Amino acid sequence: MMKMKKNWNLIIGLSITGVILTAAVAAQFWTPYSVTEMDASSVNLAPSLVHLMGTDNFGRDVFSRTLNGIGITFLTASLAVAIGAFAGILLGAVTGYYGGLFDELVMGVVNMILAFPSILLALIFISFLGVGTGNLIAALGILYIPPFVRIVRSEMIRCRDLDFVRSARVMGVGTGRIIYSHILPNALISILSTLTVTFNNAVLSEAGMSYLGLGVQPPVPSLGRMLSEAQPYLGINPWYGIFPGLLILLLILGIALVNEGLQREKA
Amino acid sequence: MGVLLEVEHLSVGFAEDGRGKNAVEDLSFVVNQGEILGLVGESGSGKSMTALTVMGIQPENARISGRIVFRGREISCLSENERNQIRGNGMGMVFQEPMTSLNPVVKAGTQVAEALKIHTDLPAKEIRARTLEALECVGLSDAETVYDQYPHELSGGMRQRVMLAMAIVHMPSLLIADEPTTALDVLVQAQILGLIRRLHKERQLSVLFISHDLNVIRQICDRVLVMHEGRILEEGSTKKIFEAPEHAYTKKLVGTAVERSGDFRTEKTVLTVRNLNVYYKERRLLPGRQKKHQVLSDISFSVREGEIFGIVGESGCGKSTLARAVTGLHRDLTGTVSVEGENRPQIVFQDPFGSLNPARKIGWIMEEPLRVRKIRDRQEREHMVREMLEDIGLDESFAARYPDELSGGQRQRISIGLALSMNPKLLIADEPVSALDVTIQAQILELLLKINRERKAAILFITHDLGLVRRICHQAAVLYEGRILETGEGRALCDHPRTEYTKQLLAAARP
Repeated sequence: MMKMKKNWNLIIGLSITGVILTAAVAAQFWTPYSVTEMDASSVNLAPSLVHLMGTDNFGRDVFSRTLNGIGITFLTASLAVAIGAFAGILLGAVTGYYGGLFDELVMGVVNMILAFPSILLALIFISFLGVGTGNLIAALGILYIPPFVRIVRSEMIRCRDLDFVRSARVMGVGTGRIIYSHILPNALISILSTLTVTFNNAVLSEAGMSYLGLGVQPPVPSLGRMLSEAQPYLGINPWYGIFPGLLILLLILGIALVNEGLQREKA
Repeated sequence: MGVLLEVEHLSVGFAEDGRGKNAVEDLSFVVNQGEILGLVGESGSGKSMTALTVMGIQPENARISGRIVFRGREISCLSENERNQIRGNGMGMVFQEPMTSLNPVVKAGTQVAEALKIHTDLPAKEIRARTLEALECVGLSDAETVYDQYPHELSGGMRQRVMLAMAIVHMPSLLIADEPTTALDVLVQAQILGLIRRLHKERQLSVLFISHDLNVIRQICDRVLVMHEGRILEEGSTKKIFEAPEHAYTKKLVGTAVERSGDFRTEKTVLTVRNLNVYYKERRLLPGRQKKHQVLSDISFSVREGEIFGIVGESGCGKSTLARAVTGLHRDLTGTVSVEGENRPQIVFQDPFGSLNPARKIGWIMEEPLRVRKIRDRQEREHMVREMLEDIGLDESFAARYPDELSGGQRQRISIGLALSMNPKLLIADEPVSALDVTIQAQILELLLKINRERKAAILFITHDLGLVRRICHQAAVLYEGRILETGEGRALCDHPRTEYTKQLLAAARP
């Protein structure tokens, strides 16, 4: 037998994401310093053994805030992707399997959404919905529906006239079950990789929107929020901005590697 | 008779093939001047690889050893340029797939003329004249029109004729035909074979004819090589191979004529079709009047319990549509289709690669009909799947495998088992063996006959092969352009055809 080659992409990706997530979850319960408490005596300090990543302009511990902030960023991104995936898979399945006028309409809207830069659309949604974490999640969620619609729809169209679906119909399997149990498993790998790609976009968008002050509101830390707050102090205290940025980078790298690894598994 | 092509100890292998098994193993044969040599074998036997290697167009990563001598000259060691000269002047090749072997964006005439442009210094006028001559020679009477047509404007048979014209335009002495008729309908197939035979006679063309279809080989070849797993098992005159085969494999190959034994019919009728008309709507993007296209007209027949009823016709005659109408997959119809028993008739499709869900394991797939039948106990379902797997000649280990780990024959068994799990009174088999190798075909037919024998299941057997109808069907109907031309007892229908069309079908199928 041939020896299976180790899937390093998947291993390293899962390790990076795993470590970051464990730390983020732990930081929801305990951090070395309080996340919001200010300390006027230790403002804009460089990293040291006391403050591992230094302190910010209010004297808050950047290490504690960064770890805690990953949690918010991660939660926002996950919920947004979950909304997109749920609605997208549902819409894609129905439009793809049945086709017809409803399909044309949905695809029209989907293509319109895809034609705009996503950050611009998010801005438009936020201006209607108002500023706040919940609204940011809703806005991003809507934006992430199209990729899932497309992938599931095309798989439905490919499979609906194949003999295995016909044979299920002749057996008397219900339409819902044909869509969910017969066709959808064929799209699983594509859905998984779309999940990871969209999740990365969501992390970046959360950071971007919070940076613009439209997402997570102070004093709650999120990675994007912290970048935005660090900007005026980059000259005197670069550490404040470097560490949140570095963590965004690591999180995205980890998930991108997981995606790459999944693609290899598929092949 | 001189020797035209001599192949000595030819082996072809692939570097990355871990098992180190060669596709072609120590192959030696000769093609004499002016003979048609048949190379017969099942898929994977190495026959196409042999043809490609003789032509010098084997895959890049193939490792070759042995000698290929053409017109007394060793050619396997020649440079690409010198090989090109020989390909241009001495050998021509026709492939199986007429849809993909022509360039879709170049006119047919230009493609035929290509060889002359490269290998001769003839003036353009002369090239055009010779091209037209070649097109006429392959039976395209309106050569001027075909010259300026693109491949998509031509039918499958015409494309294959254009391919032949390409192969013979520079007057080669050897034609290599790799399954040239496999993708074609029976009647067109007969025409192309007749054409190759005529070219062979008129131009003293030698032919290396490759096919898995024994019937075709028998019709056209002087001498036959039987290939199996990269080796030649047996060699001899066509007469000898078919009438007195020596090797056990050849016997199996030649003697694959499965025949029905016994009659298990009862008086009960399981399917009645009366005055059936079936339509297809043309898809339109904009709303408006939709055109309806009639596919089947006024079809009437009935099938009794335990009966094997044949539906014969060429592709496009509506036989698959009939299967869909009877199973209820297609609903746009008038007339009546009445089925006895509580369960709908089940269907086995032609293509074993599309009929099983690639994302699910065999166990899950085979449990599905049981779930539909509301058998809720999982252990009971698993037990029933194990029994069914035994019944269809497989074993319980298959339950844990995915469809892509199975061969075509095994998949077709699973499809049959799936259909049987619904306990239908009627099984519809839509060309169930045409995508399979000859020896596998026999096994699947045996399985269908066993089901007919043991379960008294009626089978609606859809096929293009009249020989098969003669051997296994009690009753049969000939379908042509959506109408039933004649109905009759299976054997009588073939022995005493009443219509001209059935006679043509028979003539094409007869050795």
